[in-house]
This record gives sequence, C-alpha cells and structure tokens, in this order.
Amino acid sequence: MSDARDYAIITEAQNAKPGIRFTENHSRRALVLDNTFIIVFFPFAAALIIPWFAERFRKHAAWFAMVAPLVSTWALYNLYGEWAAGGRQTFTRAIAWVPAANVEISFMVDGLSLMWGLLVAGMGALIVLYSHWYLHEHEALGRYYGFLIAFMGSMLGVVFSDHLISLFIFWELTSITSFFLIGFWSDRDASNYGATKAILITGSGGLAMLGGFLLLGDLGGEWRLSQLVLMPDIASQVSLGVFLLIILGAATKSAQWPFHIWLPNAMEAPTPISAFLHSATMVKAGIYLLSRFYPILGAHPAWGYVVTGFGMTTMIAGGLLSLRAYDLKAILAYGTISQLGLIVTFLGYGGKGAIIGATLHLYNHAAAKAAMFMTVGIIDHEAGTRDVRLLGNLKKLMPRTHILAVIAALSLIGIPPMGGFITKEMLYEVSLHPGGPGSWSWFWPYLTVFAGVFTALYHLRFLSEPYWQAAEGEAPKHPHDPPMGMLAAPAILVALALAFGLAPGLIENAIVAPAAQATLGGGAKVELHLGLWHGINTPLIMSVITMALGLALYFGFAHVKKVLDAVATAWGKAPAPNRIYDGFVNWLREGTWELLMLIQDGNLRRYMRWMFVLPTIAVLYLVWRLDWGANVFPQGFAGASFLLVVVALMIAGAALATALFRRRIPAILALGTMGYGIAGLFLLLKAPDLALTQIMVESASVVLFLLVFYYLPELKPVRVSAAKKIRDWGIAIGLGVCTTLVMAAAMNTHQFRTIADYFMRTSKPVAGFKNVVNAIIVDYRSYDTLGEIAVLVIAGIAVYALLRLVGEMKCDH
Amino acid sequence: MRSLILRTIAPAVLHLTLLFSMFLLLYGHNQPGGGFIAGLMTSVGIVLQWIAVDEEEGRRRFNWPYEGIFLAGLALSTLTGVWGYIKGAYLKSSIYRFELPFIGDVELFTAFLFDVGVYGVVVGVVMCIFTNLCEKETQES
Repeated sequence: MSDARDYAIITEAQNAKPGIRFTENHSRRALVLDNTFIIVFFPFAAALIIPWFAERFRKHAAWFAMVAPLVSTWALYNLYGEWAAGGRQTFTRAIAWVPAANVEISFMVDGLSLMWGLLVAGMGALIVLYSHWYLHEHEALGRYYGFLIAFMGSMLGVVFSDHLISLFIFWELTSITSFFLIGFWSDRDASNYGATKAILITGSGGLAMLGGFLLLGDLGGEWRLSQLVLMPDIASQVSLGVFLLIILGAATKSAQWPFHIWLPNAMEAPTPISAFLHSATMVKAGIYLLSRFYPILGAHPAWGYVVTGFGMTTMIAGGLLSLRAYDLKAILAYGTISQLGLIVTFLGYGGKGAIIGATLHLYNHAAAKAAMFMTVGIIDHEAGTRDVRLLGNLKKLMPRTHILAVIAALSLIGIPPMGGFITKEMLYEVSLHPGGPGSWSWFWPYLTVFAGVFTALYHLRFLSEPYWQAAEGEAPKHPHDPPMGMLAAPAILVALALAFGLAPGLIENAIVAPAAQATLGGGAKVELHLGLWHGINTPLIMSVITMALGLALYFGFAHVKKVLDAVATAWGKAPAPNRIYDGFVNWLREGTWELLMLIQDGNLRRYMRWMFVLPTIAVLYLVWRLDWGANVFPQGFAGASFLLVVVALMIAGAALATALFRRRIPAILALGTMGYGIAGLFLLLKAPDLALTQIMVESASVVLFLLVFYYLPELKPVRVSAAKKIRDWGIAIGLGVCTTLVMAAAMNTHQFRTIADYFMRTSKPVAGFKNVVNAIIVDYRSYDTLGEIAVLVIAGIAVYALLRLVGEMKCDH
Repeated sequence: MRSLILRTIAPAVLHLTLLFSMFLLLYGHNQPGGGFIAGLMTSVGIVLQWIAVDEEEGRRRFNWPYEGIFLAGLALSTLTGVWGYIKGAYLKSSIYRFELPFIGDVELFTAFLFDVGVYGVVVGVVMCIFTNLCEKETQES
C-alpha cells in the first residue's frame, strides 16, 4: 500500500534511549512553584475555597470557579514550553510522601500527559462556562463547583502521575468526586441509584487495579511508570492474573461491556457533568491507562485478545443499545460506550497505525461529543424533556442549537470538512494495514466499517428525531434558542472540530504526534501530515460505503427497530449485566442487614457479651499454646509490697461493690473509688504522669456519669434465671482472669529489647523534652496523638449532634 | 447541689486549678504534666464551679464557644505538623532558642504548640459534652 498518502506516518527508530531526566533533589519550596504541582494541586486548593465564593456571590459563581481551569491551563502552557525547550524529552518531578514505604507523589511529563492535561483543563474551562448558563441560581452552586474543580484536579493528577500509588489515589478521587457530581440532585432516587452504581463499579475496578499495581510494582521492583517503560521484558514476566487486574480497572472506568451499565445511569447528572465526565474525560481515563500501559504490557500475550475483546464487544453492544434508547442523553451515552469500544479495540490491536488512529479519534471525539451533550443540555433546559418522542421540529424552533448539533454530529459521523472525517479516514487507513500481529488483518476493515455504519445511524437518529421530524407527544415547555452565552461553549468545541478538519497542522505535530509517540514508547518517532483530501483511495471508498449503508439503514429504520425489539424480547429474562448488578447489590444489602442483626441487635448486654467472650477465647487459646507457668509467673508475687497489696484489695472490693450495688449513685461512687485506687497504684509504681491523668479522668467521668444517668430509666431489679446468672459470672470471671494473665505475661516476657533506653537518651536533644512520657506523646508518637485528638473531636461533635438532634426530635413530637 | 461550703470554696479553688493547669501545660516538657492532663484539670476546675454556683450563673460565666475551642485546637496541632513538614518531616519538632530582655534564655519547641492544641481539644470536648448534657437537664426538669 504505497499510494500517494500525504498523511503517511513517518516513523523512525530512534536508537538512543529516550532520555529521562529525574530530578529528585528539588527543594520543597521550588516544587511548590513547579508547573506540574500547580497544574494538579491548584484545583484542589481552589476547590476548598470556591464553594464559599460560589454561595456568597451566586450570580457570578462560575467566574470564581473559572479561575482554577485557567490557572491550570496557564501552567500547562508553561510546562509545554519547558518540555519543548528540553528537546521534548520525558522528565519527572517527585516529592517524597511516605519514604518508609517508598511512596512518592511524582509527576511525569511527556507527550501523552501533556495532551491529556490540555484536554482536561481546556474542557474544564468550557464546562464551567456552560454551567454558568445551565444551573439555576438557587441550586447548590458551592457543592457543584467545588466537586467539579476537585474532579478536574483528580483527573489532572491521574494523567500526570508517575508513581503507581499516586496514580491509584487520583484515580479513586475521580470516582469519588464523580459520585458526588452524579448524585448532585440528591433528592432524586435515580440520581442516587446512578451515583451508587458508578462508584460501586468503577470503585471495585479501581481496587482490582490497585491489586494489579502492587503486584506489578513488586515484580518489577519499580513503582514509577517512567522507569517501568524502560524495562522491555517486564511484559513477559507479568502473570495473567496481574494483567487482568490492571485491565479490569481500565475496563470499568471506560465503561466496557459488561461494566458499561453504570454510564447510562450516570446520565442523571447535570448535563455539563455528563459532557465533562462521561464523554470527554473520566470515561476516557481507562483509555489513558491503556495508552500508558501499552509500552509496558503491550507485549503481554493476552493483551491483544483481552483488550480487543473488550473493545469489540463494547462497540457492538453500545451501538445496538443506542438504537433502542429514547432519552437523548441515553442515546449519546450508548454512543459514547460504542466509541470508547472502538478506541479500545484499536489500542488492543496495537501497532503504530492503530495507536495514532486511537489518539486522534480520542481528541476529536472529546470535542464533538461534549458539544453534542451541551446541545442536549440546552434542549433539556429549554423544552423541559429529553425524550425524543416528545420533541420535534426543533430545527425551526431552535435554529442556532440545531446548527451546532448538526456540525458536531457530522464530525463524529465523519463528513468533510470536519475533523472527524480525518480521524475516520485515518482509522480506515490503518485498518487496511494495521501493522500489528497479522492473523486477523482481513477482519479489520469490515469491523471498522461496521462501527462507522452504526455511528452514522445513531447520530442520524440523534439529529432527525428531535430536530427534523414532528413530535409524537407534547414537550412540557415551548422550546426556543437559549441565550447566546449558553451557546458559547458548544460553539467553541464545534469550531475546534471544524478547525481540526480545515487546518490539522495546528495540532498534529504539536500535540497528537508526541502523545502517540509516548504511547508507543521505545523511542519511536511519529510525524503526522494530515489533510482532508488525498485523492480517491481505498479509505475514501470505504467512507462512501459507510455513508450509503448508514443512510439506507436510517431510511429503513422502522424495520431495523422491529428486528431490534424482537431480539430484545427474545433475550427476555436472560441474565443481563444490569440484572446481575441489581441482584448482587440487593443480596449484599439484605445479607449485611441480616449479619448485622445477628451481631448488633441494639441490646447492650449482647454487645458486651461479644466484646468479653471473644478476647477471652483468644487468650485461652494462647494459654493452651504457650508454656504459661514458666513465662508468666516466673517469680510469683515476690515483688509486691504490703501497701501495694492493700491498694489492690481496695480496688477489687470497689469493683465487686460496683457490680453488686442495686442503685446507681452508690455504684458510680464505687466505680470512682476503684479509679482513684488505680491512681494510687500508679503513684506507688512511680508513674506520676499516669496517676495525675487517672485522677483527672476519674473526676471528669464521675461527673459526666452522674449527668448521663439522668437520662436513663429507673434501675429495676430484673429476675434472671440461675443459669443466666452462672453464665454472666462465668464471662466476667473469665475475662478478669484472662486480662490478668495477659498483663502478667506482658510484664514478664522480654522477647525484644526495650526501646525505653533510646527514648531516655534522645528525648532532650531530639524533642527538647526532659519528660520522656510527654516527649513520646507530642513528638515520637505525635501521629498517634494527632489521630487520637481527631477521634476526640469526632466524638465531641457526635455527642453534640446527638444531644441537639434528640432535643429537636423531642420538640417536634 | 447548692452547698454553702462548696459555694464559698469554689471561686478560690478555681484560680488555683486554672493556675495549676497552666503550670502543668507549660512545664509538661520537663516535669510531669502536658496538654492532656492540663486540659482535664482545666475542665474539671470549670465543672466544679458550674456545680457549685447556680445553673444560670454557671452558664453566664462559662458559656464559651467550646465547639470552636476544640476545632481550633485540632487545627493548631495539625498546622504545627505542617511547620515540621516544611522543616523535614510532618510533626517533627523544631527547637528554637533565643534571649529575651529581663527573662533570659527561652527555649521554644513546636512540639509545645502541638501540646497546646491537645489542651484545646481536651478542654473543648469535655466542656462541650458537659454543657450539652447540663442544658438538657435544665430544659426538661
């Protein structure tokens, strides 16, 4: 195939290893001002304060949110300059995070991450612009913009992450933020269902991916993607299980069949969110992951079968489902699933041509699909429905929206002069000589044309049913064109799709080629020369065939529909992914409830029984396993002074009294006596800090006990059967004996060298404290202390909320 | 609860307990004490007053924003850690020595600020629970 293709892909093997500049020794202060850190962390910082501004200045909320994508874009522009000036070499920026576990927050800058970064940040700005017109002033704008910007930061984190662990964390952050965005209208059941479904499916996929990452990192002894890329034989060492775990993460995120079911339900989100998360960025995170791992795992024997298998099934299933949908957003959602399938298919097939085609299509699809979502949002906004059966003749009613929708749809169908035409020709071109493993190559052009026909069909349907045909029903509102501002964002996207077609030189070698190059890895060099017209050649003929078939099916759509409905009826009650999901979630919910009722049924006595019996059994097991006579009581009670014994007996007496008193107040006082006795014990054992604390705690808790008991009902003598009494005494004595044994064993076994000497020696020079106990609390183990005071604060808030809420509820009744 | 002896002694004891709790807080780094104990001491001191005096008077005198105090305490401790992070590792204590006129050499540890945060959290939480429980009691009785 050497006909005159002036968009031929020129590839040269670059013998030199791609240079990695690893700059680890940046000072922290320099890193804070580093472009990569601004790109990723500025949105997070902004997301914390944006809600405040958005709620206060509701009319201008979007303009405050707009700052974040603009700053990120500006930093990306600088970073791009930095990268270009450095000879377009990959470089990384790292900051130690958990040095002990070899975890770092590190960012990698190469063609792929830059392309994705521009996509995410640029799209973010347009989405915010569109949201300004889409959302009503009275809605929860702070929450909306806060999560939107946080999502953008997470997504930027995903595409710039170098370390596997930080990649995973940003990955899960996109799932979490998208959960809140899908469920934005949390008073609707469908929103909550969609949000839960999305986070359950993508979250489980993410966990599978984490497992894969851990095993991969362990296997390679390397956690940085930038380094893993340089290990040529890693793919052959990776087991099938590890491979599948990682692919599962990508497949769930990118809505590959049978995990695609979350995407249509996620359409309950506000439309700008659907445009941003569910067409342009988040669903493409899986594609990003596959692109990123292509140079690492692409040579794995299962890559072709698994990835291509996912892609093809998804492409066909998505295309078919799209034809049966009536909700405009659902049509687009299934269309997106189908297109994602197409891209995944090409990534799975591999080879230079396929990778370049996938990268190009990705860009073009993001722009056009987001524009289409925005036009649907406009229709929804103006007509009050998205049901194609209720919409009609919008061509006359909303002429401006109609033009934008037509251009965007035609771009994705692949009509010149839109960018979509170039990418589709490109895909046809590579399908003719894919350059990957050869055995399936005959199949490739047919598959691509098939995908093209379906794409044409559901896009034609997307245009004809609401815009061109008459409505079957009545829309709730009389639709008309929205204000010009609302059209601005889709217009910009459509203009980009047009510009990409008319002047592909603008981005081909600046953005797309480096991304494809980075995906290919191994020093491949990619140069693109794209254009609209290449003379009459095979891809053009394939395009014509596609159009003809698409139009034919479109005009005979009534028949197509009948066939599809018949298939759907025949499928009937067979296990579809959605039914399996619902069944599983219900089983989980009911099973958990039953298990909960078994252990925690609200009966305090039963809780105590569990808490006492289980440790007793554990200790008894140890008693049985170890030689306790020698280990626990080597000296018996030889060291005990007379005073110590007296205090101990006092404590025991007070404890017994606490249990036996019939009224509460004496019982509390006896409990207090026991506490003070323990404080005395601490004093005798020369631990003044502990003694002091014990006295304070005891005083405070006696007072609080007295106050709490005010709420409790009168203590009434309960008649308990003798058997139960014996059981309770048994549990109590058993726990007491076991605790004693454990304490004695802890005192008398010296398996390990104590670190007390280290603390005594270093507390003054290291922490500046002479009081070692306090030095441990606030310096050596300050993480623990921080955790503890956080728990204390949570407990305080909980008690506060509990008492206030109970008060309010009582007032209500 | 309005015992005459308690009411007479309590105000005198208040200053003693507060003074002693400050002492525990400030001297915690070299002698028995520290933020946790000092916080408990302060809370118990205030609770004692509350019990001794009239319910309304207690509220009037000690109606501080305890929720704010424990949140501020947690924030202080967390931020102290950030200072350590800039200097090397999160929550690492830094030691500063300087000379003040009339007082002489002074040593300051960031760990001390952390301890002050702990103090705030303890006082805030204990008093928050106490005042809320008290409020319920008076509302309903």
